[in-house]
Amino acid sequence: MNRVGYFAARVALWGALCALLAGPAVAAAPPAQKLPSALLVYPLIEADAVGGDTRIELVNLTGASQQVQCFYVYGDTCSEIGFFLALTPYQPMSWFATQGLSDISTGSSAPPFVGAGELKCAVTPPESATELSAHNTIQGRATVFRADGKTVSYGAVGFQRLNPGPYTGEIQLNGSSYAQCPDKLHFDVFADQPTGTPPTASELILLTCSQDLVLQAAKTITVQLLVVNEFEQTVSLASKVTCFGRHTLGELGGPLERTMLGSETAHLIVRGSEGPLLGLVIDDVPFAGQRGTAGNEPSFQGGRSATVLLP
Amino acid sequence: MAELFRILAAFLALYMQRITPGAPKLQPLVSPPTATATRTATFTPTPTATFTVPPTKTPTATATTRPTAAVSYADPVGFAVVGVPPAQKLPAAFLVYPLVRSSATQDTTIELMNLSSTLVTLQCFYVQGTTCNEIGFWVSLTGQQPIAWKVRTGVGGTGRRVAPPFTGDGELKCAVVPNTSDVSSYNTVQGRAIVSDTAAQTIGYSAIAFRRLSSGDFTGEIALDGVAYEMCPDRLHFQVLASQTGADSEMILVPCSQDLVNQLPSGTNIQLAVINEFENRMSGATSVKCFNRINFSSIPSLRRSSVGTDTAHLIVYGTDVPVVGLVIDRFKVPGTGATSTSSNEPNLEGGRSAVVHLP
Repeated sequence: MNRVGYFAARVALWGALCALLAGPAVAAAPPAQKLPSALLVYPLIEADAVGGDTRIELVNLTGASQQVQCFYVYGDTCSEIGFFLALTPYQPMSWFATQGLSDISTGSSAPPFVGAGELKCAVTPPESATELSAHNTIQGRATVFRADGKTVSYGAVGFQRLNPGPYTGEIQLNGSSYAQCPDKLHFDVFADQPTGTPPTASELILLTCSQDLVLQAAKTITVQLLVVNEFEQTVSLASKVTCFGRHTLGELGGPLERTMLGSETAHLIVRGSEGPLLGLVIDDVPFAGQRGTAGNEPSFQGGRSATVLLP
Repeated sequence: MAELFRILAAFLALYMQRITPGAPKLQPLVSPPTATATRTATFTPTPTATFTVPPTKTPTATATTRPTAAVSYADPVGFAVVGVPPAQKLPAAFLVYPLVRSSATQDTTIELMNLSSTLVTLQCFYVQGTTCNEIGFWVSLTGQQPIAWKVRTGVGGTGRRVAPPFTGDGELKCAVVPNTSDVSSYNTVQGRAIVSDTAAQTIGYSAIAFRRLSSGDFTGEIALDGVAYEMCPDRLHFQVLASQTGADSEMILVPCSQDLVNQLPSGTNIQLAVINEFENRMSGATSVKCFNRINFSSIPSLRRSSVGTDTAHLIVYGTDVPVVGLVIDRFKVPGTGATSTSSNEPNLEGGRSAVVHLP
């Protein structure tokens, strides 16, 4: 065997070994939504002492009972409150954040929550049930309302389990174990009109996809924002988020105000520099001299890995 | 040396075959380069032949719509779940806005967004809910461009007319007409709609999106069959608030199959399964022609007095044709009694074939 042949054979052998060790290549892909899922993230839970509250809804889409582990995460302190829920086949479940939930027949309980933050719920199948159908079973939504009836409703962001395996509390959103986090969030937003009649101010809520609720170690992520108006003019902005961030579009910078944007709506692209993000926009919509609110869920593009550690 | 190289190549090829689900069997290897070329060529062109058939001008929209699933008495709607539903919130090729509403006190803002960097052209159709007649128009979006217009006037935020005016209730469908036959030229857009009224009740929802799955020319026949485009959902799962005095929610349903060439609506009966928080199960039924708005109070199994709990799990199943839809949640805010209105988009399970014919 000559030297070239020997070298080629070694390269081929190492290539084969590396391919075996690495396993199937994983393409970056965002999480598909509105499907039975294994992990749900509710980006906004809000409740106050003056009539504002959130109705949290969870539904079992299967004919088998489900156990779910949930965590509220406070937006200001990043600290968590955990609890367990049990869902019978096809059962819907709902509760108000301020009131919580207690069901002695199933053992479900949710503590009261006052403030602003997020909610995460993960399906925890029994140890013997490792198949995908035991994980991808639930969906959820939330309706945030104020005393005056202003309401925002949205579907929880769902992540499907992609490969069979036991639930460990370490949720690898890596495109192999669970679906990846989205790389970019695309919103179609109304420009703020602070001096309009009526004045309007939409809000952007962002949270980090990775979260360590075991060590309560919150990480700050730089947020890149790209604004494209209806004339295809592009402006960039930046912000930061630590576990949960909430800003009016005007607070993010002038380009998202109607007078500077030059069009009524904008395409807002959001990307976290150090890690992926999830989010929601609360549209403040002017109509016939009045203001209405609506939840504005993003479209997703691309995928990036993240890890959620649950205690 | 050649023998060693041939063994290694065969080993690699077998490994590639193992990690590629559904890939055809490899041909026996003669030499390493030949083996690679053979594998690449075998699994790309298979689906092409199925969707290059020119659109038929006959009303075939309902041909594939009978449920093929086995009868299942354990299932709430009586049929086992089949197929794969369309994934949502991703760049898509075909959008369905199930509710477009305009009147003296109401209007809808339609939003469309190009998620790609290239020019995208869309063919859109309003479908009148009462007559099932269509109004077609074209929209072009430059790279990353957002666009929005009011349905009543068809005028966008920049003062330019984007679409014809539309009055009444109905739906909107928009299909990407690509410049090339690549899948990436199709899956480029997303959309949402905001329905506002003078009482400051606002409903914002995302259009139901279908991705193109395989490359090919746009023919005007949108085959939602899981090969050309994603399938229609087999069933819709809503978590709803039961109807109460002064707070009557609504359900809007649109059949997935539609023949806008011959203006033939594909009506279907609708089976409803209602499960309350105690897991008590009830059923109900209604029907839809091309668009239907149904008040919860008109369906006995969705009244609070029947359901027995505030919320219910509502499963919607089109018996002849799959359907897409939306619920408008209405409830009284505890304490103040103010009316709260919001959209309620369904979760999707399973998939069934449907066809939309565009003129």
